[in-house]
Amino acid sequence: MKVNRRDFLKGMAVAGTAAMLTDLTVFSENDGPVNERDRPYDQWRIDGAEWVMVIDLAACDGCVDLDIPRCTNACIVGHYTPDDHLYLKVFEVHENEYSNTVYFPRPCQQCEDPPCAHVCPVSAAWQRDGDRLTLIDHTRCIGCRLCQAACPYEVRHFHFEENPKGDDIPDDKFEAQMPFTLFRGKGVTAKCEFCGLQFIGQLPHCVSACHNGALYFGDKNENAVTNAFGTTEVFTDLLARREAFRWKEEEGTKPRVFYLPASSSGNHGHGGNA
Amino acid sequence: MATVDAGDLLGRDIVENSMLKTSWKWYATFLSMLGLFVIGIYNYYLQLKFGLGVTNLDNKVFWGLYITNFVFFIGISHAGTLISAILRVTGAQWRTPITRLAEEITVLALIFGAASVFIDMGHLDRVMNIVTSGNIDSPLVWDAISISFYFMGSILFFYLPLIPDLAYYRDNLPKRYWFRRFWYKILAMGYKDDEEQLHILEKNITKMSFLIIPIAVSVHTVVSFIMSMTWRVGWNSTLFGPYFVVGAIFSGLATLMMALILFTYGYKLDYYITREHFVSLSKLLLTFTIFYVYFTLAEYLTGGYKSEVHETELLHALFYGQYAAMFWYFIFGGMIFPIIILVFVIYDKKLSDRMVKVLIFIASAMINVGMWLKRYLITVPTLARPVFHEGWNDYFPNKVEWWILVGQFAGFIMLFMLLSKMFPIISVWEVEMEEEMH
Repeated sequence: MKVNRRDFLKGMAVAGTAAMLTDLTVFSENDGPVNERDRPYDQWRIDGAEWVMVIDLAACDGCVDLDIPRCTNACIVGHYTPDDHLYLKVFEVHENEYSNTVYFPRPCQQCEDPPCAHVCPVSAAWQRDGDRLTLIDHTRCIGCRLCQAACPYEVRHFHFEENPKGDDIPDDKFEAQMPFTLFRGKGVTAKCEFCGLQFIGQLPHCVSACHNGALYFGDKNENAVTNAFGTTEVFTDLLARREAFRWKEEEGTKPRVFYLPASSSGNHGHGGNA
Repeated sequence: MATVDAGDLLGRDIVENSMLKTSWKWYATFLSMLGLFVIGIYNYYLQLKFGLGVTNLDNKVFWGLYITNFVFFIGISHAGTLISAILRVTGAQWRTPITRLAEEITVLALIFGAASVFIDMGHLDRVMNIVTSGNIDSPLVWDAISISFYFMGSILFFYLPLIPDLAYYRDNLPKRYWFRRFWYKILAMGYKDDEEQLHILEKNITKMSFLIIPIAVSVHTVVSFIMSMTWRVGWNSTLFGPYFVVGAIFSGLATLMMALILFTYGYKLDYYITREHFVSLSKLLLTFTIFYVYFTLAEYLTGGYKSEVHETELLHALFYGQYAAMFWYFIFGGMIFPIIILVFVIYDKKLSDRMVKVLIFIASAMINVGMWLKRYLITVPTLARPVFHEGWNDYFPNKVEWWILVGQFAGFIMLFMLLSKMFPIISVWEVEMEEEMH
């Protein structure tokens, strides 16, 4: 069969369009869906670290003496977030008529396999190389909110308006301190990003604020977690001793936030089915 | 033969009238649509300036009216494909006078469907990020690819069967329509009405028909994937792909019916579009209504029977709770009553032609309202249901969202009216060929 010029051009046009669309989406990345070029926050990174948080539900009293729990308040103040953006929210859980009330703090679970990063159309939600933190690139996010739909823990917040506290953020904060979650504008998602204070040798705002030392933070690879009192525990021992659980294990997200059950007799799965 | 010729002339006159003669009613409708459209644009401007905070969306119900519109408009875009492509492929000859309108609906509905997503986005200025740093894992990127292909395909599918009509009017319009003739000349691409060109054209229209069906199916499948690829109760369903596709064709057909009746009334197209067409389309619409009843039953029965706690919460809100009025309208107003009306229209031969149209219009409008509500009921209650020990969220769209919705529908009607002035609304050459064959 003779291929004439018109057929050839036609084929080229179809192939070209297809190649353009697939190339831009599939092959523009070096490996995997995450594009590591031009990523922000790169100076704030410790390769080889794997940050984890341990939350002792037995020690958390929900700060019922205050309107806003200390951890939540420290987070809001520290990150200049709008008052209704609770990156760390404390829930009062009363699972059934036989169970006691438990206070359940919820930060971003920093999943090993984060659904938000899978669904993000532009990889603005991405899990970075090095310490595998799941972050948000506020300069890339298109504001579609698909990540909010995908997150099983509902920890993501959308800036529907300009951050009312945006003007309060000192300019040097963006440079002098880990700028994760510091945000002035509108139209993008934000969430707890494990603070970033660890890169200047401090515990996250929420961890240092806890008056009961219920929150621990540390590097899994150093096998140590520390709370507000400066108590450092061996990470794996603490988990084993207290029969720690991860929230919604069945989602397969493998969170890096570990909960120590409120009762000493083991995991009652607080929030586990929610 | 003489009578056929006379009828033929009459036919051409009707189409020419619809294109070239514009009544004051047309202008009045057009201007009022334009006015509503401008109000919609103004409200979008407010949203652009102050952020999505001007809507009632919040961090629990972060998708609302706009995503409902997205699914709705992409849904009715399936009208064109079904009528044109499927009926073409299956050789249903009665489709010829209907195809042009159906294809126009597809193109316009896709524009407003895509616009709904753009309206919903927090950063429209970054939309090109989807191309420059797109993540192929994301269902939204699948949407972008699928809808782009569908948009290009449906423009082509609209354009190809238009060529012989453009060529005819390029050659046969009086000189004073030089402006139209100028454009028709460009768009007709030197088409000559001879055997060879006609053969090539028809071959390519057939190819496009086969090509566009799978693309259309993929479009509404991946639209559903935006929701069903998440774990959320009410969305976490394997049924969603086919459910959405059937729903799309269903509401697309209903929209086509409404457009057909309005245009038949406005442009006096009764010569072309007869009771036979309406009854045939009613049979098709009835079939898809029944399909949709079946899918709906499968969806809610499998969810409800197991009585899983969270599923039950959601179903209770739909069946007896805050969404019950919408839900039961959707069941009865959107499916059961239209079925009764359509059966009546199909089987009662004593009905007058006018009555047939009125009844079909009512049934189609009820279906469209029901299907819009159904999309709302898919989007909102799932998000309003508390995920973790917080109460139900009571999202209801506010003024800005409603005005943008009105603006979108007004824009849709407006562009549809414009298109009907730019191009013949009946594929005249196909109807003529059809008549010659009989």
